[in-house]
Amino acid sequence: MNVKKFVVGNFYEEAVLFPAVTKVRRAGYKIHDVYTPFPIHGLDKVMGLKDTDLHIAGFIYGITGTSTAIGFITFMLAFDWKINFGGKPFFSLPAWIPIMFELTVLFAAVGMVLTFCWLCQLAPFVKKTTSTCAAPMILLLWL
Amino acid sequence: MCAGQFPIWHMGRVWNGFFVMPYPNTRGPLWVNFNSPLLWDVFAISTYFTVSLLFWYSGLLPDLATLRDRAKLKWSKFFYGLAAFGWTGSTKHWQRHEALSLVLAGLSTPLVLSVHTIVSFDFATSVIPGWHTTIFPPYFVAGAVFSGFAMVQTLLLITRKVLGLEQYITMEHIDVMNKVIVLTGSIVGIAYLTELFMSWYSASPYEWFAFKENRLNLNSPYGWSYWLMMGCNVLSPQIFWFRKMRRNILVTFFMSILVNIGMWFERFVIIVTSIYRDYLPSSWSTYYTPTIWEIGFYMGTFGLFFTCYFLFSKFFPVIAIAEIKHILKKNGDSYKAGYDKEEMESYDAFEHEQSHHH
Repeated sequence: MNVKKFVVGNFYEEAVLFPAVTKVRRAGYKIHDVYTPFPIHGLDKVMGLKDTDLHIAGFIYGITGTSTAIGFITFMLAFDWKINFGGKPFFSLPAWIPIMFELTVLFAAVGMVLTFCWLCQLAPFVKKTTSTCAAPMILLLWL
Repeated sequence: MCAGQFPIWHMGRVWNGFFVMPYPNTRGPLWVNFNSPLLWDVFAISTYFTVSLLFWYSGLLPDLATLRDRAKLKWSKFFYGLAAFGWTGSTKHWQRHEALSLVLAGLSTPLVLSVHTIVSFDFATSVIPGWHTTIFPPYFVAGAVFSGFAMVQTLLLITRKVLGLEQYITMEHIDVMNKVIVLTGSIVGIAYLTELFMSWYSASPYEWFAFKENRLNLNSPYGWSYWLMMGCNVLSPQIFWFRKMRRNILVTFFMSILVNIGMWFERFVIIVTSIYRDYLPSSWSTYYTPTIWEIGFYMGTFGLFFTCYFLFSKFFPVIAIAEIKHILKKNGDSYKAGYDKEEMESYDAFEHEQSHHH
């Protein structure tokens, strides 16, 4: 049967972990994951993980928010139901900047958190799917 | 949460509160007025609340996972397991978590400026003397940082004592917080003086009357509240220029209470002294007294706040565990103890040893 075999290592020091990760990878083993109680800076590079694109997603969500705001407000106040507010133009962009800013931030933040939870499969009652690599190896770091 | 409910209560007809949202309705559809600071505030407050909530909870996930892993009771295993969203501490997850925290922190900072700026617009764009001033946005932002730090200081000093967190929240933290308090208190003070000067310089008789007769004049019905505000917010924090005072817990606690009172009176001065006497002397009211409902709402916020605060400090981590672990591993005493050998070495021996490494 397709039985997965893991070799588990325990580490207490970064100084020991980093060379170990490098050597294990050089020897041709695939590292399943390294679990750490706090972020270890530079470990992702040593493990050969790509940089996350989460901030790019955040930027896209942000400009979506901006365009949603300007699009909807323009539709509502300049096309759908024009109201004269003190003789100001129907399309009064400067007055809409605060809401455009707020929606930019709101969309970026909510979108990024949801994307983060989705990518990491973080939610109550969600079982994580394990990776399907042939001979994975887990390195455990417990401090 | 506590502050956010007040705009809803002040709508009067609370059940129509959803009218502030722009949704296709049967009244036209008649849309909300996007040119109005009141609507900007709807968006500012709800965005601020949502983003703060997300930032708070996403930062809490790793610590909730720590609590889950150490939970012994059945209910707490289940509860923290649910709350931690299945956080594992995988390196990839940490990498994304760091990116997320950085961006959320970056978004929250201008959000703080925007929310207080927009709240001040509610006042500043009106035509009421004492409110119609351009200095309001920076003045409200500085005031928010000022009162926020004082409030945190009050709660932190008690929590630190009760939970025995002296090793984590050190005198250094209290010292720098007091520096922020004296800085922002002075900025607020400059704002007070500037608006006072401008009300005279504007040559608008109504504006000058509001400041001179309703606020500065100690014999006017509310003169006492203006001077109480000045004393608590501007004069008393100046004590924090002295290092001895910044590092005195008792003084710090007393001062934080004074600043809380002062900032409460700032709101009181802005609202009450500007509108109890308006353009028509016939509509002046001699004295404003809060109704039992107003007092009730105010007491209610205390109840809501402290219920949440006590529940949180009982069941949730009051210190960011993962962050502290990170720092201890780099700068903790037990980490530094390992360097005794290196530190005792002579410089030449150390250099000799290191040069062979590379």
